[in-house]
Amino acid sequence: MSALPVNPAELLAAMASGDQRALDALYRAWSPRVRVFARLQLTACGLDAHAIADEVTIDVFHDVWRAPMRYDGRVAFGTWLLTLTRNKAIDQIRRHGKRVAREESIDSDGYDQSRLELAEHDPGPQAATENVQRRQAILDCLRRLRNPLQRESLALWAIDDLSVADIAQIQQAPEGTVKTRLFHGRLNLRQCIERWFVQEGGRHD
Amino acid sequence: MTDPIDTEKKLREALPDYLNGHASADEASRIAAKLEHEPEWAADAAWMRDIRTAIEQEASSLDTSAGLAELHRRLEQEKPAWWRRLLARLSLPSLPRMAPFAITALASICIIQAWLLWQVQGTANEQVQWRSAPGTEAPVANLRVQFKPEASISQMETALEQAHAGIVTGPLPGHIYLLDGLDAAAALQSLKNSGVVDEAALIETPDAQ
Repeated sequence: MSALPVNPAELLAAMASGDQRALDALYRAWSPRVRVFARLQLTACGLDAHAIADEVTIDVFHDVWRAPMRYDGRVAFGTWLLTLTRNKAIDQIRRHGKRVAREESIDSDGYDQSRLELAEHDPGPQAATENVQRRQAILDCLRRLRNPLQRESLALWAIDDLSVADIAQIQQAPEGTVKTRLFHGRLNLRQCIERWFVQEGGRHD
Repeated sequence: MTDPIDTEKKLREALPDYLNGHASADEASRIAAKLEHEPEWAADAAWMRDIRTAIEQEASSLDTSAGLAELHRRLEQEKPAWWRRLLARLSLPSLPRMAPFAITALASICIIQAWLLWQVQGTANEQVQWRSAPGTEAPVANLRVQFKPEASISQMETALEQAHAGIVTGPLPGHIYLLDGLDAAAALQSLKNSGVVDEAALIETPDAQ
């Protein structure tokens, strides 16, 4: 059995000729990033966010399998794939719009009751390392950013090392706007995480 | 003159691109200097790296097997797209299976083209023939007569009646007529004696041979 290429364009070409192993390789390499991005995008879907994100991830790769040559190489593969993910996530958010309106009461700047309840479920210092806690805290704060476009900009920047220009293309926004989103997004995130540490410190004292 | 606050802000906005390796050389050198000398800048960069690390770790902690199994289940349920089926048929490994069909088709085309060429050649050799419906055949002339230029129509009619001959065609140039005589030899003699004919002769016909 011949070894599969790792280059996305070559994997897509193999998929076009019906090689399902190429799809498997592509899925293993890229689905974690797609899933994380979808989860962050679908934060508004509340408790179902992870399940819907998993569904979106499978949908994305199913679409890629059905029409692999839709990728024409004009943008980086990651940019293209995350754009597909974004579009599917937006469709899901629209579909769950009513529930979103009901559940979207969390303020990125505020550290409300629901945040405290969630913190109660966080693993304690004995159960988890500080690193894991910090990671979870960052992800929690990222999900709680009030402005979803700031969250999306930060996620795209971090997930695939995308440039501001790439993110601007995905968000169909001027580069200056993306720079502002990244700037204010990380500022808000930092404020959130600082409050989290204060709260956590209080709990463990 | 450029506002230094604006310049600082623009440089700070370029930090994400710098950390991802997308900043221009000029921006990169200026940001590197800031990171080295200004703790606030260093803290901001560290914070961004923390965000990236958190997301990367989250991605690497996810298991792909369940999702892949679900994707396979979906693929098994759906019929492959027409173009993928076509590509699968035309793919190199399947060519030997198609070879007998291809050879038969090509041979059939050669045979049909050869037959068509043979048909065209036969048509070219065919003699051009007069075709007519039964009972409408043109009479065959057996006499050739040249009337005198001064002979009138009535004189000609009288001579033909006496010779028991009819006009097949004419007048041709030189007052010549082709005639169908009931008895060609007797008609010839009668016409020669009529006094209105310059020349008269029998025409050899296939029937006469």
